[in-house]
Amino acid sequence: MKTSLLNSSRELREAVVALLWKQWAALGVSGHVAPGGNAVVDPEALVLISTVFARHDARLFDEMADWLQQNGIWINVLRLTRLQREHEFGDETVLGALAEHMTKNSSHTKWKVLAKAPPEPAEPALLFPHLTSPNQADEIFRKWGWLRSSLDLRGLSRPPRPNQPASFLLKLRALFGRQSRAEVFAWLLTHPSGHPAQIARETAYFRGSVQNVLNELELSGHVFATREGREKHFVAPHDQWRFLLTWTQGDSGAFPQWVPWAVLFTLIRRYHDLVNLETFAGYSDDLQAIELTRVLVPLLARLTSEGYLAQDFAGSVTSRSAEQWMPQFQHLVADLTG
Amino acid sequence: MPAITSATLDRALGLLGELLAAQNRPPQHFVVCGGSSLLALGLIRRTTTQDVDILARVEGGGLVTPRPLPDWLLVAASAVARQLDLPADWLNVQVAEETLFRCGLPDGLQQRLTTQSYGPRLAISYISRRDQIFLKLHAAVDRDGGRHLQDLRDLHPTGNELLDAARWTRTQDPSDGFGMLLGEMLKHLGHENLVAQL
Repeated sequence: MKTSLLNSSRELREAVVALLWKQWAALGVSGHVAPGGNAVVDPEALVLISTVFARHDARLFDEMADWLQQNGIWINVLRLTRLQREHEFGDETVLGALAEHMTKNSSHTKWKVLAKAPPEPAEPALLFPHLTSPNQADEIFRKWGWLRSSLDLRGLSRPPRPNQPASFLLKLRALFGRQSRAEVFAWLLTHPSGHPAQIARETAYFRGSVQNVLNELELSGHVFATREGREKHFVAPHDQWRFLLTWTQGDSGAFPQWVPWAVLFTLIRRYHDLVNLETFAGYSDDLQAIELTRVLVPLLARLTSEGYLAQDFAGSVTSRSAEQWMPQFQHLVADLTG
Repeated sequence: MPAITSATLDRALGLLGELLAAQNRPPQHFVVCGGSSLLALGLIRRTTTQDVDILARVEGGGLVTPRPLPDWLLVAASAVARQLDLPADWLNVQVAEETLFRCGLPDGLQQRLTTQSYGPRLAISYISRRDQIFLKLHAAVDRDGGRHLQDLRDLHPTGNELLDAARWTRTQDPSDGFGMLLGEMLKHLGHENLVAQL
């Protein structure tokens, strides 16, 4: 691989790991990481992308496992499964091993669904590619095709911190429960208004259940609906809900930023996987551009149609080589993640 | 949309071959005629073409109709078109009419091909000057001259080559109407003497 592409790929991976540390720290994993950013964390998307990128930081991986062991009840396993089925940005075997570890604790029975089907036995791979092979491998991870030392959890994780914008969704889950109501409400409070199909697509719930939740919320008298043509648009007046902004003083604060994490993480994973293919570096610039366009432009088009990207962004990267893509891509990730 | 130069043609076919290899597609071997073939072999002064005319597919040691092209090949060709800003139908089989295979390609065409590989999954065989004369004469008569007539003139066919070509075109279309148009074309080319020999 060309040195510049290799360096850029490594820089991207390091940036993603730093982002994951920040998000996990906001949720309560142990480790001194300055919280930052104004984006709402999507916990299920975070778990899925961590099964891929946290493999490049063993400490992060184990702190995540520790947090899940103690706080896994805050994860909506059905939504996590749906996100993985739709976007395939997590690693199901890493997730399976984590889930099997978690189900040793009886409070995590819902995670059993993820630990049902280990792969056919084959030569295991190193879970942490930057570390050497362990003397004694963790049996559960080995069963799922991964070599790592025994998973010893430190038990230092804390519950989600409600006083940070990042944990806004978990705060709403604590108030409204772990079904779609929390996501729908979070979406309404981070957007001026929206219609059920759009909210369902961006929160990864079925349109029917989102529609039902919105209709029920409307009955409360604190969420309102207006008609635009055949579409019903819903609004949660932000001023009425400012008491939820527990991280700011007075009336100056704003609700946090909604980031379509599942799509963004999918974009990052597909880009990373593609440029790290052994064959990719041998492609001509034109073929690299075709492959990047094929894999990424549909996701960019989705982000554009949902209003998270400028209209001309996809056009500005289409037909560009990997080296021309990389800076644009890094700007995109930085812009969307604050 | 810019026309296709010799360099663009080479880049486009190279990219298509690379793409087929990257996607692990089955090997493809096509016979190409028309402007792209003239460009590739440097047979005339023309510097650009509009498309790549696939005449046949090489299969089982013989030539068969290339129609229809597989969907995955069309998708790959579209990707190349977008990448290199080529016409959407830059790779097409319009010229490969069914009558060509029913009535027969010029004798010995396959033995006169010049083959070039574009990676392990794509080979293109360009037809020879003699076969270009045959196909260009047919096209010039059939489609009222135009660029086909200019290409034919640029190939500087001899009388014997034109006579062989004219006889072959009659196997494709033996109608009286085509015969009359063919005679007019030969006169237009300054070979009126050949009409009586058809």
